[in-house]
Amino acid sequence: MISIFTKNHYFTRLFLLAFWLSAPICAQQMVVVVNVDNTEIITPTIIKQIYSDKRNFWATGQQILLFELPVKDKGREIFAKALLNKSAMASQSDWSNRYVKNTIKNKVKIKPHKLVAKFVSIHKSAIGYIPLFIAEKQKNLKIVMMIEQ
Amino acid sequence: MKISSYIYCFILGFSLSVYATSGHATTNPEDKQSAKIMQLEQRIVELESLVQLLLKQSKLPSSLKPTEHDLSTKIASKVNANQQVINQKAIATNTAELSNIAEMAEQAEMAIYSYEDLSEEINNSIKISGYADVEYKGSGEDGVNEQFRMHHLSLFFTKQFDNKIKFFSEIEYEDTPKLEGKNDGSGDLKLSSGKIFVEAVNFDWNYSQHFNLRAGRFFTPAGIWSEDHYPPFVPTQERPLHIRKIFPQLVDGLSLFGSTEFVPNHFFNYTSFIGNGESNVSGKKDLNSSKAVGFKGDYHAPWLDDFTLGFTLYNDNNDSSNNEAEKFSYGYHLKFRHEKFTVQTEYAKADLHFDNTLEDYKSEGYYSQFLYQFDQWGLGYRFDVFTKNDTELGKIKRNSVFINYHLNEKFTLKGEFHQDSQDELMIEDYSFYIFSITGYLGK
Repeated sequence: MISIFTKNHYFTRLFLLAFWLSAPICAQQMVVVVNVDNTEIITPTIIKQIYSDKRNFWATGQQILLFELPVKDKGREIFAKALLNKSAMASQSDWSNRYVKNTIKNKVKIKPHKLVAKFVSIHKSAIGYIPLFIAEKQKNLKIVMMIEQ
Repeated sequence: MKISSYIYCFILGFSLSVYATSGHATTNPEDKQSAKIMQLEQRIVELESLVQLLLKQSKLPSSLKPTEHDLSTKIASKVNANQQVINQKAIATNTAELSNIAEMAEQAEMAIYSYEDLSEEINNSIKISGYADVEYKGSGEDGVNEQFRMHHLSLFFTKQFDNKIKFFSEIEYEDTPKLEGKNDGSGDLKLSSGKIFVEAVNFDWNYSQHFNLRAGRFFTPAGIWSEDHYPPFVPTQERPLHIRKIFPQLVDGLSLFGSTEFVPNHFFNYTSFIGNGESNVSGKKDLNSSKAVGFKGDYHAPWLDDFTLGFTLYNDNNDSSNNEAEKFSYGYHLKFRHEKFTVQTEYAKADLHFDNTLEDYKSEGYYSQFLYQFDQWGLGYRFDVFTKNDTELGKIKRNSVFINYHLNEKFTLKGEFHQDSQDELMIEDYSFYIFSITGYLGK
């Protein structure tokens, strides 16, 4: 009886550990941000068009400067799933493919989220996505979309 | 300047000084610069956390933060005489700290400009990228050995001159080329194998979303696979049968392209081009006076996850690669994705007219490809038909199944099996398989 109880306890711990490990993937609230001086009306549809390289100019005629997070960043996975309905890996492959095909339109920079916040706050034509808590700390940013998980 | 700006400036200043003292000048190769920039960015993030922590620990009253002058006046007006003595000591200490921060801020302001300058320099420097693949191929045919093949090593050189002008080139080394001259001063070749091929070399002028120009050599904008064929990003090493046989592989000429949103969320992409036409000798001269022209249109609809429907037209009145035939080709293509399921299909047909009308013939080809992707895996099937000359027997049908495993976004393992069958009774069915490793060498 004792050995069975111990075994069950062991499995319970394993289960809890697995649950804990999987939890952070769903924990991050991501937001799409632009510079506070950006006066465009930016809808989720327009954001999807930008991140699928269909749109590369703002309505003002200014070229869009687009920021992505590194592929291994959980925020990238959340963003790609929610907006493009594909994995972060697939979305990065798409950018690489557009680059070698010479059909890429947008200027894409891959930066960690803190730098995305900084750069978007500096460049009027920039767009990026970052965790909500970073966006709240950074001045000169405008949140244009909350990403539902 | 506010304290947050000081922090930011300080971080950038410190980062740049680290960079400057590390001995890497901007004359180093681009990959070293990029690596250094990545280190700098990481360092910035670390330093930002550190500075915020230090500021908290310094217990600096919030009223002292703005400037040295504000700091003195505000403190003097708010504290009583006894506290003033104590606070004056604190002010002296804090003033020294602020002085240091101000000094660093000045340096950091310079650092910001230097950082921007360096970033621009990196952006405008020539970038090298590429891909490579290795195959293991076998077939059911008697007497054909299974073999390793170092199929592609392609290098891309690109340069962004400014916001509007870009250079792009691709040099392909196929089957590990080897050229060896005779050691007798004759200049003759003793040995040659493989292929070195400049597949693309062009300049772009990107004026707007609607209007762009390209001049040079580029892949023919026709259907899907003609441009979208790079091994790390397509599911099979073997291309569909009709690709490059109905529309030419390359165009040496000029292209006008762009995209317009004619109805909200409905895009039309166009590419029109004019070039020398397909010829056995290209890159230097046109073998005839007529020019080939073409047009490709793509309609992108907001249906499913991705949806593209398009057509291609191509005309060459003197096709040097087909005995000066008058060639007209057209085709349709469709690609859509719904969640993990992608369908891609192309149809193309060419009419060739010769001086002797008895020689006229048509070529026709089409394929449909179904791909299911889950996690890092891709599974698929393709049905493929090609008729080179409709006046002769020789329609080839191919069934292909394939599997992909993406180790990451740049590295893919592939397995594919193809079975060909022909209408001619004398020709037996033929099957072959390829296992391959493909890697994208870019960022």
